[in-house]
Amino acid sequence: MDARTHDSYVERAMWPIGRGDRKFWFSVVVLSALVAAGLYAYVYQVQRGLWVTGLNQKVSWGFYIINCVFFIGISYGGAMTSAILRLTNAKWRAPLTRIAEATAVAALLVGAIYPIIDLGRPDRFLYVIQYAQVGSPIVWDLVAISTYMLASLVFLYLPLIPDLATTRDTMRPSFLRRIYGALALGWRGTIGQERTLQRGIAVMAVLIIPLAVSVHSVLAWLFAVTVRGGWHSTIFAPLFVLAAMLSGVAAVIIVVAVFRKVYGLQQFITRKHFRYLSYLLIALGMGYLYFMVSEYLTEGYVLDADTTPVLEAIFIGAYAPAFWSFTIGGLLFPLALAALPGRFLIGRVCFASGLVIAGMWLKRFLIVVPGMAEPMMPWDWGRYAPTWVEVTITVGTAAAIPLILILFFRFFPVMSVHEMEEVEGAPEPRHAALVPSYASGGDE
Amino acid sequence: MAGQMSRRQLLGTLGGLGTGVLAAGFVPIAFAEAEAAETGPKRQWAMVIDLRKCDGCKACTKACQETHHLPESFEWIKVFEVHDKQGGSFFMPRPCFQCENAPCLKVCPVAATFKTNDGVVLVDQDRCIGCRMCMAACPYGARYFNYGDPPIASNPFQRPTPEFPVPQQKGTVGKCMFCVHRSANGELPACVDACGMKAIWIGDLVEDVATNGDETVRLSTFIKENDAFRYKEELGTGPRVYYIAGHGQLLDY
Amino acid sequence: MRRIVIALAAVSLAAIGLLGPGRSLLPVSTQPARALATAAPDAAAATHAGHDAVSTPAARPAIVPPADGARVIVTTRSATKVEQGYVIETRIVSPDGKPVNEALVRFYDLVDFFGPREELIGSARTDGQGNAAITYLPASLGQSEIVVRFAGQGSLVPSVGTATFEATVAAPPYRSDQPGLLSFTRLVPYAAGAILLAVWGLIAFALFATARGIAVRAGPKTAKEDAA
Repeated sequence: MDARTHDSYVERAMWPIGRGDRKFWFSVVVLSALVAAGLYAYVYQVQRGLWVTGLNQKVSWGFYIINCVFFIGISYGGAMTSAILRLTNAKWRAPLTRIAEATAVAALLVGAIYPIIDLGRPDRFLYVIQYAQVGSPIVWDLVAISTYMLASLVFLYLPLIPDLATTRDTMRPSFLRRIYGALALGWRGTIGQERTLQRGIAVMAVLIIPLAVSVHSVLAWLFAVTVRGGWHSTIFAPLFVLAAMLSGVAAVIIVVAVFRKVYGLQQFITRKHFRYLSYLLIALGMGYLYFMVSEYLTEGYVLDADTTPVLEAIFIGAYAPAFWSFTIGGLLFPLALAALPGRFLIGRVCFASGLVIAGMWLKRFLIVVPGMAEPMMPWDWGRYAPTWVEVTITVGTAAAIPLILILFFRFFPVMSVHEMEEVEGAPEPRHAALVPSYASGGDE
Repeated sequence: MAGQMSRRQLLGTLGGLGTGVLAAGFVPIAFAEAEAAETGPKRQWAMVIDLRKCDGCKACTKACQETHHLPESFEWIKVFEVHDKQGGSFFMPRPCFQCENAPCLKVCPVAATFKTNDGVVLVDQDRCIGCRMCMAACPYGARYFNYGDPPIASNPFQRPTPEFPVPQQKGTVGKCMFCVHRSANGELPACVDACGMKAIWIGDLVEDVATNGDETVRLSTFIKENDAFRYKEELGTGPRVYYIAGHGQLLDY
Repeated sequence: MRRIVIALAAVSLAAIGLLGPGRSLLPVSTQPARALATAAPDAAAATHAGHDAVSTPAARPAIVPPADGARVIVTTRSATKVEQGYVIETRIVSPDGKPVNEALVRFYDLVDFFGPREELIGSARTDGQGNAAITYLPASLGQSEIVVRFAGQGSLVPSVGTATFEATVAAPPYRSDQPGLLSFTRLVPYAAGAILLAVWGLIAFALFATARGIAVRAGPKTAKEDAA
């Protein structure tokens, strides 16, 4: 990579740092307002009790559990693009990894608080640690999610170290600069340091994949260890993992596209990246389709008393509109859209990813609600309709993710400089005169 | 390098720590097993419900709700109307089955749901965090969540206990507990007492006896002679409630 | 210094293992903290009453046959096959000494189950000699009080007779059929815990060893950093 491209890359990566322009503040204010609305709805719920939701005695799990699975699923984008692409040595990943890892952490933070939102007695949340029962899927959840969160944070931090050093080097002396310096741990780019860092990142990359698999497997077992017809299926854990990877990659595509536009990264995140990401999307989508076919074929061929009610409901019954919207509009159509050659690739792939994400939410809904509503005794199907509390909290937490990302990239480079140097080779030594002009320590 | 741990040292330390934790965890198990051998159970509660006699009056449900001051939606013993293939219907009261291999017990993250030595599954509402995993796991829909406040205010002079969880606590789960608070005083469970058709029998598997308040029978013989079955037994939950099937019989008034 | 830290960590982890997951692995029904505490103050031993003496047994009306009723003679003996338990024989004799034929008799065992109750253990009809018998294997050892009730016949009023015997043979105790796999699955959490510890160790290693390695290899400060 020649020096000019490298400098241009570094400039673009650092561009959002310290940039407090009108667009930034407008986005922050709007997103913060949505998050505040969600917070207000939650306080409302805590004060009054869970009767403010649409939950009842038959359908006792609803939006909150759906959102928990959904948001944690989105966090798999980090594991996929960053870890797996690193291990397979896919060079095109370099400009995407920072965005993917940051999205993973943000989505994980949001998804991990949903079980607490769902609790009837959130003041007793610490009991899960104090009185932990190792046989309970909820405890497995807590352990797996916290371990995965720790690993994601470490996996975000380690490749950030060289970039922190670069950022520190471009800043005027200030309090903030000292923080960057402390976090950068005295990085100088020596061969010894490089080797140490590479080893640490490699360990985390290898570790984070089984951890990611474990998190969604445990979430799947939350459902699969019960005897409800639509839930007690052996394929649930692999199904959930693949669904998470699919929604994660789709989320990464959208976030990358948005930040590419807003921060002007078109030179480095090109059509090629979206083409490759779309390959990932399509491969995972086909895999998910395969798992779905396997499950429904096995159940539908036999049509035993346990599984038939749910199958009927989702194929031809009350939940059929949702199911077919998901299958056709959220899976088949977007995959075809992304796979087709032709123009407007980035637009098509982004639109397809949006449909995939919406479809994945719908699929989680189709797993949770019919499974809960199906008659376990000789009574009617249950019914569930969310209230404004659940919808507001959903919107608030969904807004929290871009808010976290925007704030994160205000302080940290949006593309990984070090990773780019790693795959493209270090640039030729540059003169002092080419020190970029963006060197500043505060707001514009 | 001075001060830096080699990989071997690190692995050795981790292995030592791991073994130490595992060994420490085994100690309480050893003590608990010894304890269980000495104090065996003296009672194992069970119920038999005669579906030939139930007329669907729901007196059992109402009595249970009155005894425990439950809200309207809480039917700890719930009477289902089941339509049979001949076009008729019969009524099936469903209390909590106090399963021997209870799914609700296994999935509770904080052991708020526990089994007593009598075989009754209780809920400690001082510990329940309201995650409702037990409700998802119960195959019989026997557990109820307190979405709101119970109809009575809390009693400052009597704290609710797992055996007598009155009043119910908002944000926790409640269910039938075979009225162990009444049997401790020699009183029949509220539903057994209230049933006008005397269709509900409370029994003890250890003493092999069951009574519906009027008659008393030998439990094992009663079950065998009447071909009593357990609901959804194939799930492996080991329910403690037996049903005597029958429908279409004329009720003898 | 490092050794002290490791030792402290090991001790605290062992303590957590004892108090946390170790405790949670206790078979829930024998956790001592869960002793049955009843709401009413005078519950005492009533919960576990069987053939044990109850603290305040409800006054049971004495069973006396009617003065002008048939005589119900009850005798008990061990059955020929030990596993069959006991044979309870009864003979119904009318007040004028004649044996009652085809008399409906019901056999009860007196139990204390929600108060004193008569548990039906069999019924039979007498033969020409007024004899009827059932075999009875009690559910538990100890004293058994048998009550035989004659339902009445024609002009004969219902009557009753009692007998007691010491049961040294009883039915096998109740055992629930738990699947055998459960004892194996209890070990699984330990394996999971060990794997978890290894994973945390690896994460800690990746973070701290890397951080340490980078800081240690930093070398002397450059002039530029000194000016900060």
